Amino acid sequence: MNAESKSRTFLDPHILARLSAVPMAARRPMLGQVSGRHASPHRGASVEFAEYRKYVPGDDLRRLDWRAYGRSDRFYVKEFEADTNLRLCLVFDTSGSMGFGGSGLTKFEYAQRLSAALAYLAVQQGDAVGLSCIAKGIISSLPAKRSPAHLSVLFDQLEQTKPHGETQLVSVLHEVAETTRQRALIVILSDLFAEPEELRSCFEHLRFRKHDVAAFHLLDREEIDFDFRRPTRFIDLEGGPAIFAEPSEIADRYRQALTQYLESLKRIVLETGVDYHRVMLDRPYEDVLMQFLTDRARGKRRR
Amino acid sequence: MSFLQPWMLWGLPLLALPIIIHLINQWRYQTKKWGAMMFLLAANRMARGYAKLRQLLILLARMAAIAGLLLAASRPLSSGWLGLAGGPPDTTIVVLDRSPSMQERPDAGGLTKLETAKIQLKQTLQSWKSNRWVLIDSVQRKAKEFHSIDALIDSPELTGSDSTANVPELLLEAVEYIRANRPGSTEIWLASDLRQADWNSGSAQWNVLRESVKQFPQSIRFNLLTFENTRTDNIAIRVTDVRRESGLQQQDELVLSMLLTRPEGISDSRTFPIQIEVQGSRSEIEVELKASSLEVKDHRVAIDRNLTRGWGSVSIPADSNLSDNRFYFVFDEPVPRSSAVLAQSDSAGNILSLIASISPDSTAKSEVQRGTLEQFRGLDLDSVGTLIWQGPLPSQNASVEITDFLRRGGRAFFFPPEPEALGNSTLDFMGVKWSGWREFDQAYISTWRGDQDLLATTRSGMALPLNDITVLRAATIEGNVTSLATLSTNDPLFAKVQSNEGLAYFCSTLPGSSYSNLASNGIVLYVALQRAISEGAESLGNTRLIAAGSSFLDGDETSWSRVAGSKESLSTEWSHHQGVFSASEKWLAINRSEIEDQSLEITASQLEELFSGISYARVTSSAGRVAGIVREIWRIFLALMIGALFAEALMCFPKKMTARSPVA
Repeated sequence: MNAESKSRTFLDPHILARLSAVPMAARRPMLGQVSGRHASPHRGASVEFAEYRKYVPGDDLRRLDWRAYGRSDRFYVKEFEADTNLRLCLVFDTSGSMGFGGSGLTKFEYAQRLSAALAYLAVQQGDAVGLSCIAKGIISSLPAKRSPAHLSVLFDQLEQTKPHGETQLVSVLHEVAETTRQRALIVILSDLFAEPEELRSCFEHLRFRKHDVAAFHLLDREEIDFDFRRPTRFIDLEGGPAIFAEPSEIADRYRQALTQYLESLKRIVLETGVDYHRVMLDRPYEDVLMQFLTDRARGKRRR
Repeated sequence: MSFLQPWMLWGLPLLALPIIIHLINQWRYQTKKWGAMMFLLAANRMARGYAKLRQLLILLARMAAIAGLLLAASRPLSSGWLGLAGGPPDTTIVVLDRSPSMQERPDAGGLTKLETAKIQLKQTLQSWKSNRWVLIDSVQRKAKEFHSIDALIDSPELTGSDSTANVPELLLEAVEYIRANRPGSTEIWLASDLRQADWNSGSAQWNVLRESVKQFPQSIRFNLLTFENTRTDNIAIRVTDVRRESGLQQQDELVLSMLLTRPEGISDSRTFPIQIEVQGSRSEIEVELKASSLEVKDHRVAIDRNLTRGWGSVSIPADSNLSDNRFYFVFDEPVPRSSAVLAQSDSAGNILSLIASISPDSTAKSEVQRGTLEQFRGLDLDSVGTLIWQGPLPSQNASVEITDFLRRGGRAFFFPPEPEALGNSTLDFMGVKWSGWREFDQAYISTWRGDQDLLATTRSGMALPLNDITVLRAATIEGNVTSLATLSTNDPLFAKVQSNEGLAYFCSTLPGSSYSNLASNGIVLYVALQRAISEGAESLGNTRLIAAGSSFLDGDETSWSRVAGSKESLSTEWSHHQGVFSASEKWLAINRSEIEDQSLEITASQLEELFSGISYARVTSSAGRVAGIVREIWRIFLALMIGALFAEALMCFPKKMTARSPVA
């Protein structure tokens, strides 16, 4: 880590050092450009045996299995798994609602920390990392690269971005699904304030493109508890109309609506295979990332 | 509703306090930047209707609590109705109905309606801070001032009487008092049992009353203390006819006809005795009453032949109303039915004198003096009971004499002059004059009064054949008359004029065949004339049977002495109490009027109509109920306040938090 990176408020070297001990694994085969530590759908030259295949003219004779020829009098080529690197695409929601935070960090700041740490960990293990800042559309986009210099550019981008404007999360996720090349690890950092059924189509679209999708759903304790006493004028952070309400009148229904939303979302992420993490802002982001990494490390590789 | 502390009502604007606090609370809102607007919008949409209703109910409950507190503190008085009153009135006028029906006592040993009314009025008005107390009762009929309500109610004069009350007249007297004394705000308290006989709802005096009250600039409010209609098995007895007949041996006979009545709807059979007292000797007969009325016809009581004139009474055992259990009568030898027929037209005069000369009673002689109008000067009116006059109305001198004649109880029956004799005559009598003849093809009688007066139905209930009468020509009657029979052309055929000076009848046609079929039909004209002759004949006899309340004794009480009757009644009120009175040769029996025996009451809608346009309130009581009709009801408002606070607390109580966290 160079001297410049130390000045970034969203990076904590101690936390990064602790997290570095756990590799970041993909749950699905990745299509990388170079050799790496992630499973590839293609055969390669790793030490892990994959299968026997009949010899066809043109195959490298060095891969012929002579022992198999001796037993069967037929030519077989011995194939091994390929290991490749992954492309980590961070989808960072920068809409106005991400500026909310009851006490302590805002959702935006929390997401900044998660993004920076994930980017750092990816680059450190040789993976490429890209960043898409989204709000009403894709505000800015950095292609996935694996050089340390690119990491600095990415941090700069994270630093310069501010929460602003309304969200069109659904349309933007569809756009991300279309524009990102196949088989990438797409990590969504957002409050996911959209209709669950619309999010289902986004997740299915991403899965269809063979992406490994992970989502960090950021929620503040104040949003969950909704514990207000006085009449309150709620100003929409995304610029919508303000609402004047007597909290005691609507608290029950607010909680009811929130519960319904969360239950629907939970069902949808299960059905669509999204690696979903509900994150409360009062929880240290190191714990969140540690759990994310360990869960993935424990998960079986599928090719 | 009235209040003992009305100044507390100035605090009523405090009712706006919850609204003001609510608005201030709304104004002191906090601002919060919020991200999860989609849930807020959903919650707001779901809760909008209920939340607004709840908020409204909470506000109303808070306002009701304040209203309850203020109203309780202002010490409201309940009077069974809701009205608005300012402070205490300047003058309170108590109008009391002392008629016989007010002496009804539904519960044995209980209080009469009159006694109950007095107690309730006393209890109610004791908390009233009136500057002036005035009493008008149905006997004295004059306003009398008292220094306090206690003195007013405890006045010894306020006992029951036997005369029928004239409620509109009493109220007009109250209005007259207000006009003469110009008091400030006035409360008129009227205690009555709403009997049709006393209220006389058809009287034109009600119109005068309404118009008079509306003209007063000050506030005048009527409070009616009325009594529930209790259908008790009260039986009333009256003598409908008494005559003396000669017997075979040493004894003569007194022939009595009696009528027993009780309220409609009571049909159980009752057997009871009737005690008949004649000059101190008593006899008893047993009767059985099965329907609502029973007529005992021609019951004969033997009397001494020398007893040519005397008095007696019939009575029944005590029931719920003692005032109608006894009826006094006086008897004498039959008086000749003396009448005078003065006619301008010979033919009409002959018919009228023929009718007058045929007495319906074989024992009573009929005497008719026949003459022309010019012979009036020579007529001795003192020996005549009924004057039948056909021709132009009497001149001024004759009018004076005829008015004196009417004043002593005589009757006059006027028929119009023939068309050619009417000319331009402008003479009038008691405000009535003839103003020309009208001819009809055939006019019939469209309406008539069959309940009373000359054309009343017979005792057996049969109506006179007025439908058979046809009129070809009729003179127009000008003046304020009461029509007894009206033609289909709206012209009166028979009419009467009654004033303090006496009673006169008018017929607008003549009995000749070129005018009407009154002569050929015969019955109607005969009955009408004979009834008038009967009434007139009474003025000639030494004995008379009159209804209580008539002015017969007025101003002349000293010359009369009481022979029988209640000894508690004041001599100044003798004419309003039943009994027998005598003065030299004259005997007089006073009893309640016939309509007092009818238990008809005016309905609520009629009452509404009578007091239309006048501020009035009504409270219904029942005889024997001595609980105050006005009492403090602050407890009700206190309960209202507690109830409102409780409801408010329930609605404001925080709801139980959802046990399961949304993030679980």
